[in-house]
Amino acid sequence: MRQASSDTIAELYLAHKDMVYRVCLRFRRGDPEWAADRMQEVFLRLAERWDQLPEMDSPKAFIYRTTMNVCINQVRREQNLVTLLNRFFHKEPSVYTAGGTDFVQPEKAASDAQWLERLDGALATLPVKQRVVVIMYYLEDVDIPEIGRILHLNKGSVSRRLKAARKQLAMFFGEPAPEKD
Amino acid sequence: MTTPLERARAAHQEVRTPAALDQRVIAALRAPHRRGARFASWWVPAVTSPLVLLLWFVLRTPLTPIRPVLPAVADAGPTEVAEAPVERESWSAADRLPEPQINHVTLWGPGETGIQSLLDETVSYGVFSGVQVSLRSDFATIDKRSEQHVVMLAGHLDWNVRYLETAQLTIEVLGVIYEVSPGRFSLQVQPNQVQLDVRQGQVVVRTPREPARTVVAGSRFVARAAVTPPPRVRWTRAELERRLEAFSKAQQHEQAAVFIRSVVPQVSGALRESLLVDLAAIYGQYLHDWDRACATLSWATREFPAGTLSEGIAHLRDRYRCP
Repeated sequence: MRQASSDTIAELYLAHKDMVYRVCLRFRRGDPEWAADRMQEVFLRLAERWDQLPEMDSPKAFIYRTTMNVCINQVRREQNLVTLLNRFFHKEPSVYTAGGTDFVQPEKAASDAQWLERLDGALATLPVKQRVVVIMYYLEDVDIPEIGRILHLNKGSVSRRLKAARKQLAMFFGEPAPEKD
Repeated sequence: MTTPLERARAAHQEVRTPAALDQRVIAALRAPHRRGARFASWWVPAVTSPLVLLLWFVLRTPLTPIRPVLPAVADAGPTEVAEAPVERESWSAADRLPEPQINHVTLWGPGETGIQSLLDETVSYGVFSGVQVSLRSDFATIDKRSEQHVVMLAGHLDWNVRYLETAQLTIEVLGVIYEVSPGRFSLQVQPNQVQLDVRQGQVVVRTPREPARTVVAGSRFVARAAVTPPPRVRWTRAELERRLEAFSKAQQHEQAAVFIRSVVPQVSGALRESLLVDLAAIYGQYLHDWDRACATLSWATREFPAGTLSEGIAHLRDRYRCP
């Protein structure tokens, strides 16, 4: 394997790190440690597959896809164990909901944490396939054709998953999630 | 009207990566060995099982004694042992420098020039044509003008210069020219003098009034009268605010930071403190470089322990989660 240029990876890292980190946070109820581990995994995969990068359509799409795959695989891996333990101990997983490190006033940070907690609670109830498209469509503003291209799905599948997710989100937000398109 | 989902999305999009995580991931990316299995797990039994069977088959058969057959020792006399050929490491300007540590900063990449400041015990690498320079400083401002010419504007710098190919690096400090050889030395700029301490190697010094002289390891050179500090621009707060506002309007935050770094050595007192806070805020808020933001805040705290902006500095330190 050609040694990847860490400078160029560092550039990609700087450009996309915030997106990867916050997507990973939303996947696992805002758990910062979990998100940090997944983020590291994503960029290590990027470094390992550096040779394939020139053939890729866009590094951003690759990073999105890798992020989603890494998170989905880890969530599924844990789900079996967590479900088993929850049945045994009758205990729900805790909500972490980490905010950002950016420059927010304390009042705003508290308000943000409240909204993120609600959002994480809603996302945790969705199956991972729906969670992926909701995060990309509603939180990262990626449109449906682009989601299909990134996840190798057709538009119909993406729309169906979004439609199913909207009903679930409405229970948490008190109103149906808007259709943007 | 903002829907709950839009508010949650706004909160989500403000999430930023913690600085400590940046360091961790970049260190992992720079590590030579990547973690992760190279072979699928089913390869392990597939490869080891035949080997174990083969080993078992060999060991169960009785081993015949081995008789060593040694050639007679001839009286050949002393033998000359040739040294293995030493291959010299080739280097070109396109090659990368040795990987710096995580707290190291690369000041100029290949072909880059311009003014840079070093803060807070930073160890930095500079790339010149054929010359590798590592710098350590509490505070210094230096201007790389070409691949062979660097001008030190202010501060105190420890230099460690290594030539990778035939080249010539000239350092100019307040009008005194230093033609440097590989080695270590420090340069300190004070109001009316420049002082050179050579710890290893030698440096040839030329002043406008004196002929060239060589300063060797263990000796010190102080240039006084010959030194004429460059004329200083008298910056006023209004002028600085006007300039910074122009940078801000043009969204030229990187240029604003370079500008402030070049002005800081020329001002003092409250204006200097205020500029340091501005610089830290630009690093943190616009450039998302929290390491430099924290280093700048440490510098401001050290210089102005009871300054008028100390409360604001403490607030920024909290906000950027400075150690």
